[in-house]
Amino acid sequence: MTASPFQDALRAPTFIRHLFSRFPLIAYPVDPPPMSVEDFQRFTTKTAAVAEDSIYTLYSFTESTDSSIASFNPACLKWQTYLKIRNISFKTHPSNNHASPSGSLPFLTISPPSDRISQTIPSTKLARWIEEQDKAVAAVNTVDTDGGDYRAFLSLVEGAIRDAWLYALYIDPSNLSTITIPKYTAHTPTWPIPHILGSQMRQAAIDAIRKSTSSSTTTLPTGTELYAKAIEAFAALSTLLGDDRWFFGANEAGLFDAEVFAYTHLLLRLEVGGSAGGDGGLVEGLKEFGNLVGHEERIRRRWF
Amino acid sequence: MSPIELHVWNRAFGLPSLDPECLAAIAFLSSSIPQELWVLVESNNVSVSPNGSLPALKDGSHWVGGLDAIVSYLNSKSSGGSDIDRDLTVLQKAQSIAYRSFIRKTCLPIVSLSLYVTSKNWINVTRPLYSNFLPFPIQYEIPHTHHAQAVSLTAHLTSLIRDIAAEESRPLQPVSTSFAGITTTTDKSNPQEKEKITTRVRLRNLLADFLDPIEEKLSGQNYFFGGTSPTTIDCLLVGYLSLLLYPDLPSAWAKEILQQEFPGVVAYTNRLMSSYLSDNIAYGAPDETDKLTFISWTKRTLESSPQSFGLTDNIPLNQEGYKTQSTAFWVAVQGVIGLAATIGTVLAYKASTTGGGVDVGLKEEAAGKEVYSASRGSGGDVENTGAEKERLPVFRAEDMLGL
Repeated sequence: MTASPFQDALRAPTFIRHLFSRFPLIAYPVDPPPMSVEDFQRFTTKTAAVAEDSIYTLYSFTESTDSSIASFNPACLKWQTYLKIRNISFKTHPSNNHASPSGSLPFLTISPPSDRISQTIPSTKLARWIEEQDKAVAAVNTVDTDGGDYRAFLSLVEGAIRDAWLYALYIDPSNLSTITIPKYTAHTPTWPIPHILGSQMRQAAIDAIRKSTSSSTTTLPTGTELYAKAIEAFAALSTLLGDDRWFFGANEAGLFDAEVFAYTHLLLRLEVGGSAGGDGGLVEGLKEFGNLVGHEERIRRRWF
Repeated sequence: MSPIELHVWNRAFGLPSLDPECLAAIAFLSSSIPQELWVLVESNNVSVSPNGSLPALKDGSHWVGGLDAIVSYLNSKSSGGSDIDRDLTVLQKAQSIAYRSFIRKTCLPIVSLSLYVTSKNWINVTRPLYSNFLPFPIQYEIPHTHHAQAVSLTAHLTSLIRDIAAEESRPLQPVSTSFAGITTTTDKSNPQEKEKITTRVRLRNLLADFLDPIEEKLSGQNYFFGGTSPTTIDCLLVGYLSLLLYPDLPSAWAKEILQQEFPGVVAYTNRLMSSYLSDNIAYGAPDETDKLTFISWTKRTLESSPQSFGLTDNIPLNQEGYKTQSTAFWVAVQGVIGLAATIGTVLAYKASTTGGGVDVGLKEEAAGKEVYSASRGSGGDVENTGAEKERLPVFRAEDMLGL
């Protein structure tokens, strides 16, 4: 049968037809979501889904799946501590930012026992999620998180103390090579990768400090200045805590306690050396404030 | 004894300086030490300051840079006599430190947004302002740097910036295009008006984020911690708030929102501003060595260039570290130049000793040929254009369709 010229006009040119016949387009079936260990166990043992609670997993920078081993990242440790304070049982999972939907750790996944679709909660929404949990210990800590003092002191932790932490752990060369790089690149210890990631982290830390030093200056502060600011901030926090058990005179630890603990615990326990370690360093400066050290110990003894 | 000099950025907007930290330093000095003991110097020269930023204080030959350092230097100099925070309790001092950090962190982006990033204000007011007091080549660099800093400080407000820009670029409400009697003319039917309101609400929330805690703390008191005299935190607040409240800007959202929603804060700022940022400040002229000249500016730019160009991005432990870093960079640059010069000399020497004459002749010949071929090439192009046109449509669209 001969094609009419009209049909002929609509046909694809020969070479394109050849091309398409050589490389057939295939729509592969959709990959199922990866099976979690719990699913696999249920799958193999065929045990009917026991009426269990949902399984909460906090993906964070950590070395263990045991939630009572503290993370080595302040942001992760803060949420880990707060979840423990609010008595939500969870497991931790070693992870890195590439795994996170929002690009930053930690995040929490909830895998209900009945179905396999798990829900993900990024760290920005964790506080609200915790409030909605009925299993969580009722908010004993009734500190107003919108209050002026709360926000002012929080800006100290997120400003001066965070900058000094970044300087001590990421910019100080000795801590970078002995603590930060080994811990953050434990998954990929092959030769050039830790060094590349290390220099990227260092650059990111420098940029973060540049952004947070607010005064209209083109030059960056020095390390000594950053440490002095952080010690000043610790002094202010120490005064704020006074002889109380928890910050702002609360009956029970709260988010702010977790926030402070995340830094004090890591500074006191991580064997930070280099410029932050010796005499007049950040760690020695922190140890001067007995009540902050006591506060760290209280939280550590009880939840870790 | 010569008076203490406070070096700041130039006056603007009817205020003694255009920088919030400088204004705070001025307020601090006027409230803590007698008027005759200090003068204000508008040097605009950051290279005088040990930490590379203004305000800077010059006491004899001793320099102190940055507001916090100035406060502690003056307090220790007078051994507490001029310490305006001396009556505060320990907890209030801790609060003062915390609020200082809070104000800087939350208010600086707002000031930057209002003066530098809101493009209408930047183009019409702030940018021309710099040209008034800076000499010729520098007036292009410094405002650019400040603008870039402001942009990076407000990076988290991108969508809001876009909304402000959209609102600005919109023409005034045009004559209604709706047919009389068919459409109702309420606010809801007007998307532009609605959008404008949303932008305004978001700006209000941005300001409230900063001002609600402050207003709560002030709660009708004359000063931040009550009492009868200002403390350091009052000085810092008036520095930042006055830059939101007093400049006459084409896009005056900050001023309008403050006046409408935060009358307490406005009254507080007015009171402090009239007592501590008023006109009775003694001005002094900068010493020859402290003046901002083209030479001092170039010197500083060169010294800091390895860092500002990101060639040596590092934060050393102390100021000495910056100097050695910069020196190391320039030594390296000199080394590279020296090496290149040496190699060049050696090559030139070789060329001149090993029958240079022939080489040069050959080169000249080669150069001649090149010129010749180039000229022929260009001539040929003109001739060939006709033929090229003929040959050009090799791939015809029709061929591709299989017609």
